[in-house]
Amino acid sequence: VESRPKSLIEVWREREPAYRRLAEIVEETLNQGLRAKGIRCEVSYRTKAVDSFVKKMRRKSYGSPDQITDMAGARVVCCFEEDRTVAREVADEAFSCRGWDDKRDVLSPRQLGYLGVHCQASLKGEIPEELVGLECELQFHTVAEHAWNAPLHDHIYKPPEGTEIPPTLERAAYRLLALTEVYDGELSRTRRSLFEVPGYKYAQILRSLDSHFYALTARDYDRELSIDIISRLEPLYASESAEAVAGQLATFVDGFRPQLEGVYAQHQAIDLEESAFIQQPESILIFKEIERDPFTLKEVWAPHLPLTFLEHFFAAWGRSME
Amino acid sequence: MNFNFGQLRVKAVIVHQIPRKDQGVPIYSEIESPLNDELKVYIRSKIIQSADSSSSFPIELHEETQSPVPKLITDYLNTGEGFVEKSRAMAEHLAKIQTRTNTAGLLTLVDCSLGTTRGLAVLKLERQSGISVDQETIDGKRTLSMEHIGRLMLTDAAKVFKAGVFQLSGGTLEAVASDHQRVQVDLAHFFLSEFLGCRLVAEPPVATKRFFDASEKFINERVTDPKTKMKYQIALAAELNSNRKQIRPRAFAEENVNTKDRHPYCEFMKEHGAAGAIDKNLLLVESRLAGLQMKFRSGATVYAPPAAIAGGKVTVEQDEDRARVVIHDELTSMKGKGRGKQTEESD
Repeated sequence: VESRPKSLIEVWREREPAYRRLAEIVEETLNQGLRAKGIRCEVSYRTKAVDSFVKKMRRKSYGSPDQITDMAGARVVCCFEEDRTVAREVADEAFSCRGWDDKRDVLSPRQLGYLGVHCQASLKGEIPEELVGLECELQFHTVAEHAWNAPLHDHIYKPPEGTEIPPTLERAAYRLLALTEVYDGELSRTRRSLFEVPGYKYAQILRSLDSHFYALTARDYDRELSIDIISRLEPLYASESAEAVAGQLATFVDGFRPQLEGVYAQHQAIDLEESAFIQQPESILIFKEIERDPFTLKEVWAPHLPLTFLEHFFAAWGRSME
Repeated sequence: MNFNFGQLRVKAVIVHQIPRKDQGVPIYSEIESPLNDELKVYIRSKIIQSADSSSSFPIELHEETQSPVPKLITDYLNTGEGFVEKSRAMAEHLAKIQTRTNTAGLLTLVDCSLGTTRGLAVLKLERQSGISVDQETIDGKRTLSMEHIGRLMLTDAAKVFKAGVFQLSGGTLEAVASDHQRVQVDLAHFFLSEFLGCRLVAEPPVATKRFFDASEKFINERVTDPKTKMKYQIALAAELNSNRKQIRPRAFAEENVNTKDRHPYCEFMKEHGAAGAIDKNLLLVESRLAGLQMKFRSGATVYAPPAAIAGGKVTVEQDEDRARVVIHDELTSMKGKGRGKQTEESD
């Protein structure tokens, strides 16, 4: 008995679960990587809907479903252009990425058009058998680009069959595209200017420390002392942005939460001089550095503050400074 | 060896006073010492400052020991019972073996936990003295009066003392000790061997070789700049040739290794089981300390005595991806060298 060829719907049903799993892993990995870098982005994923799959196979006259490259897709929407650069790095590190395509590169200086950065990503390292060889399309957009793409992209680029968009409406949509570029540029410029305000970086780091500290201890603290210590430890993170430091802190707190809770619980309400210093949010930064590179911490600390203070942090963290 | 001192918690403490031989009678505590949270945190810090210091080293129980302490420790860690009685038995053993040369001390046992693992710290502390100051009014005038106190047990300045920390991890006893008097061999032997009934995990010649091998491996595999390589190699030879009786890898790093390389070096040493303090013994490495050998991809080999390098007669410079050895010296002789063993020609 000759078996009948599978219908496109059957092909989709057979393939979709593996692509869904792939997209889930990609989303989770991207979220983790971005969080570790302190980048706030929205990551979403989807698999190609069955109708869209069937239509694309027919419209493009594909001979094999493997020719569809966006069966799984994940989208990263970043607040800033600079964050997109970091997000791309995160993807490059986590996955095998190929075919990076920055849509801006194909536009002439006098031309407006859909913006975004795309690539094809596959998993690296130990890959579940059913996901070997599968790719997920990654899209990286800024919030402004997304604000244009989400409601307008399909209307402009894929209008319903048999309709034509009047030039005046098309022009109106492209005027908005110009605004997205202006918005992104201004947003980045404003942020850069804010970062140049004296002490702003320290305050940003304190804000990140503060949220972890409250979650761990629910205690108040001496803000002036915090800023003083954070500023003195600046050489430890001089080459990194406040967001990157915040990302490292989040990863550190996630990894060492029980130990941190133990330290603060032990030093709560006891009358040792060092406890007053340990019950401050910057202690999280100091503990992180003890884990990361205690020698550099010691060297940065020594010119400004007594080493006996630092010794208390080492002991509280379960390390000897000697 | 995996002591997570970050999770160390002090639960109970008992102290016994042990005099020098024939210089008084021991005072054995009959109950645990009263403890508040401050004391617990303070004692915890002191244990960590000692047992995690660069002077600490891994130890193990000695099967052939005459000391009852190993069995007492193992029993206690297994059952968690009889803290007071077992501590007293240890104190009695210490009192019995004390000599006139051993200082009087306070044998302090600390019942503790390291996460979910039960632990026991055995400390031999010495009485210390200091001056306290208090505000006072004399003849209606304010002053700060001083008082000499000779009954202090632990002070901020006392960072390292004789300590052994034990934990049962997955049924295996793990132990670490620190002893600032370790350089005085007899005293060290007394605490570690006669009292604790323990011995070093690695014999000194083996531990010294392991330190040397791991350090060289780090220099060759992790350091790329030839000048830095040479600097570290010379420091390594100097450390081994010095008069110091003990090698402390962490202290070696602080003194000789560039800041950015220190942490990677210490982590590397930990991975290679060479992070603890070592009683230096050159038996297995002496022949490798006479000079520095540099090998190049081309097959060329340069050998130089450390003094020639330290004196600047031999320098290494880096030119992009090529290293250049420069010898600023007077050429005294030159001779050919074979290729090593020749294979015998077949008939």
